[in-house]
Amino acid sequence: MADKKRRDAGYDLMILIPVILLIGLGLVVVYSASSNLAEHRMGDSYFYLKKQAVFCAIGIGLMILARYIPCTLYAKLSYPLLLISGGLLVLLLVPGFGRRVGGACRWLSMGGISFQPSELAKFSLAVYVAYSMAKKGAKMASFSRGMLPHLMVACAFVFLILLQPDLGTAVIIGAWLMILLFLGGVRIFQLASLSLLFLPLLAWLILKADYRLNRWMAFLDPWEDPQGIGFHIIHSFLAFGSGGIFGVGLGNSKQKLFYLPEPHTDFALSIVGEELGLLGVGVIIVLFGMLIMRGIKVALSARDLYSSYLALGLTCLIGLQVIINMGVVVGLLPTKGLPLPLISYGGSSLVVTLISIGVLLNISSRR
Amino acid sequence: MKVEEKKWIRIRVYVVALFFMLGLGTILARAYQLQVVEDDYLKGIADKGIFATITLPPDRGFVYDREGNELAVSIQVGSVFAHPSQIQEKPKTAVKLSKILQEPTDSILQKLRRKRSFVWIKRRISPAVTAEVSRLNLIGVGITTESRRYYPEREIAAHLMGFSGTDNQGLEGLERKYDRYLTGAQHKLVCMEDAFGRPFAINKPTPPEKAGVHHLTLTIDKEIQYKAQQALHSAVTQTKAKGGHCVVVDPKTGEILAMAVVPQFNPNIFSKFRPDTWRNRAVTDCFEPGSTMKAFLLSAALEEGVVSPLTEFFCEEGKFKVGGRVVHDTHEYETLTVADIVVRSSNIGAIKIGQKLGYERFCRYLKKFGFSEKTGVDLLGERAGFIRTTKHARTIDQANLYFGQGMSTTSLQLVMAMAAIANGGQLMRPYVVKEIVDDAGHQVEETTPQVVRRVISFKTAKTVASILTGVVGEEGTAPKAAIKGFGVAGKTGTAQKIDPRTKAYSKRKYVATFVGFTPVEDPKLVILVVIDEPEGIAYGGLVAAPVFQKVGSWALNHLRAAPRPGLLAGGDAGQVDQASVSPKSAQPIAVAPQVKRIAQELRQGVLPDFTRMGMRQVLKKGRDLGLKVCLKGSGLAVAQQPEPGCSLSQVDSVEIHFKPPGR
Repeated sequence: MADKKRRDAGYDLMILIPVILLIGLGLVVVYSASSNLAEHRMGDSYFYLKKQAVFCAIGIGLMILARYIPCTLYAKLSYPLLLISGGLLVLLLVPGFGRRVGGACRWLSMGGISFQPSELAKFSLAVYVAYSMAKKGAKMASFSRGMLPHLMVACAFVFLILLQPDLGTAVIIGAWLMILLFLGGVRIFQLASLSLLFLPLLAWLILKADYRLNRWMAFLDPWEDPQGIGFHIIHSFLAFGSGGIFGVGLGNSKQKLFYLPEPHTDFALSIVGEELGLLGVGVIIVLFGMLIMRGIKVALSARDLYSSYLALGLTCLIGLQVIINMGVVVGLLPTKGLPLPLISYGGSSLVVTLISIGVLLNISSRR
Repeated sequence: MKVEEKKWIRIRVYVVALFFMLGLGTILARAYQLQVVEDDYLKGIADKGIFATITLPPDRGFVYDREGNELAVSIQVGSVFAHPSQIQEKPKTAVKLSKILQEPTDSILQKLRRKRSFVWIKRRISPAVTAEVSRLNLIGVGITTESRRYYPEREIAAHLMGFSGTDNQGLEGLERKYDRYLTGAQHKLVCMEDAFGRPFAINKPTPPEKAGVHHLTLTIDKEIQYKAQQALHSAVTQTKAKGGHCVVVDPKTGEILAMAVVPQFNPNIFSKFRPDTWRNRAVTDCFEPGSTMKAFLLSAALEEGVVSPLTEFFCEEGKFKVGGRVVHDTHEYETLTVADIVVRSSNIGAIKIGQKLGYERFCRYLKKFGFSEKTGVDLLGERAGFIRTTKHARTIDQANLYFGQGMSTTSLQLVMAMAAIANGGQLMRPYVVKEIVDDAGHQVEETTPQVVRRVISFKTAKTVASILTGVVGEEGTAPKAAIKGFGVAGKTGTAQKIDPRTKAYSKRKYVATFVGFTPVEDPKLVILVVIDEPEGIAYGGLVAAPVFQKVGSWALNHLRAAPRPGLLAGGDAGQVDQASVSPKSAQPIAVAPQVKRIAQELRQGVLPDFTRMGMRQVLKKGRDLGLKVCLKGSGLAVAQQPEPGCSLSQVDSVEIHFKPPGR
């Protein structure tokens, strides 16, 4: 491999262009969705836009950096990365370190900057799984060597994340691991039985917490209690419905005026649907579709198995978050507190996603 | 080793790619369903939550008297409101507001603590106070202007006007009766609200569902009304009476010129008065009219031809036994003519006339005069009164009716019945609202005089009128009602009231009445005065008649009626009080030239510019200048002939052209 001619294919525009467009659109949506909220909460309508723009700049810088760091470097760092992520997740549970928002402790506050360790955890898991699966190669078909180690590492992370609690991210990691193991060559029978094993656990987690049960009920029939449990999702529907095909125009959303809670984070797509209509939603879906397909294409043409798995892992991570977030806002999935990558407000998510994109660009350049 | 080189891994990758494609495709399909298929349905729900309608109290039309004087107006005042959810420092805000608004801090704080998006803090306050509030620049506290009803004449015609409530809705009197006209379009501001109920975008007011405000012109003459209230009030105070009414009617048209009720109230602060003082008792309360009924007994008997004015009856020397009871006269008379029976108000004489006429026939006439049925006046709460049917009337009941006991009537019925005599026997329908015009000055409705029926012949009416002039003569019961220089005809009444406890006629509670008209030859005014439960001497001729005299002489003067210098000559008004022909009577005669001179003085100067004035304004101004005004078209004045600025001394009349505005 080493003697092969190193060639740099430059920036993969099929990745870069959708990403730039999505980030740009994201900033616009974040501003439009958050300006009233920011004015109300912070007294500065640009508050969230400013923060998001800063994270955007940091993210793009790190993306360019990642683009030039050979991805093989992460392979060597996969265990330290796992340890750091795990450490940070444990640190969240230590009183005094975590920042509590709405009953959940998901952020670490350090020197005025808040950071979500679970974002890093997802990234380091992707690196670890890619490295490990590439190393094991054909042994992946074996349960004890192919599936078990990954499953245990992932379960440890999921357990820590569930303690925050953050069922959304836990579910994402679980689903993502299934896909990756499937890609890595784990037998379908094993995967299917594993899923069956985890379903009762998931059901128990939902039933255990009232708000999760409520979200589930709201998903099943949001109109049952429009002022209560269905409030969130119904206002998302209303936003979409008000938008129609062409939307009510940028900045003209009504639902963002405190009807739709957190319009700039998890429900950013609803505001897109209202202001830019089906057209705007379509554009975002197509851009993400391009990004995902291109990520998979990059994986297929990567020069080694590790790079392939890493590219697949990162692409699937982005793709899963996109699908689950969108599925939630259109009412196809029960409400989860998950941001829409590149669009929603949220520094950690944006920076980590951009780093992932940088890694993808790196893999793409070294075909 | 590359992924591409392994077939199974490529297939699995394709499967995952397909999964993502299908996922995104499903989401797009769902978005299509939400945004295109269920579009209208969802948008409808969203709009319902977002759009809020703020209804502003409607404007209210003005009410004018017959001369165009304002009796009820709407003025713009300030109101202070708050959005409690926006106020952070509620106690601080409350303290600041309470200082300016002069309201207790607690009550303001209570309002601010309400879980509502909008509360009124204080409504309808002076612009100076709202300006002070706005200078504070309090977050979440706002100011708006509202229209407030104001009655510039205060108590004047208050019982007719009634009043309107906080939201400009008519609550009593004409305000309520004509609410439909006076109320303007509800200004609805459709605004969008955020989830906190704060309006963020206000659309244009919706087009009004109905036409704008209408203005009323009443038949009331503010000056006569004022005099009636003043004279009545002082009489009621002097006699320590419970209350009283005074109604002035134009007999030829049925127009009510004044309707005074005491005790009075001020509609601007109506809530500070007892609710029973709001009632327009002249139409809502019935009383036993007493001897005033003898005028109608006379009319009926003469019309039926059962007696002539000179027919004589033996008056039993003051004691007459009827149906087991003894009826007394105040004076003991032996033989009196029919005319004298009425003039001296002999109850026994009346019974004898009545018995000759017959109860049933008398009742028929009373009904023709409008008793026991509503007059149909455009006022709220009118009562009909009551007369016993022949079947239910015992002999004593029948006898009582001939001098007006045992029946009930409203003041308005009584004055209208007397007006029928004054009007040559024709009963008119009384009315208060002369004209309704819309905001642009177009006439929407006009009330025209309406004859209800002919009650007695013209000849009988004239005969009755001439006999009734005797009442104010020296021999009559009410010399105090005589007006210098004018012939007065009328009838007194002093009715016993039924004591609600004993259910028998009270010896102390009386209703003193005088109802009459003037000038006799060409009646311009019918005036009724009722004093309820005066203390001391309760005779209508002593208590009520002076009010008649004051109001009558003042109103005649106001109407510029020319007194008859030859009243001395007697004739049909021969029995007029001697006082009226005394040298003092020259005084009112001098009034007319004086009035004329004032008019001429005013007419020095130049002709004003009438353009853009409404018809009413033009008429008023023209009248003030003593000009004959000729109106052409409708709407607002656009042109005039002669041109403005020419000397008034050369102008007698002015022609003014109107055009509807906005065209």
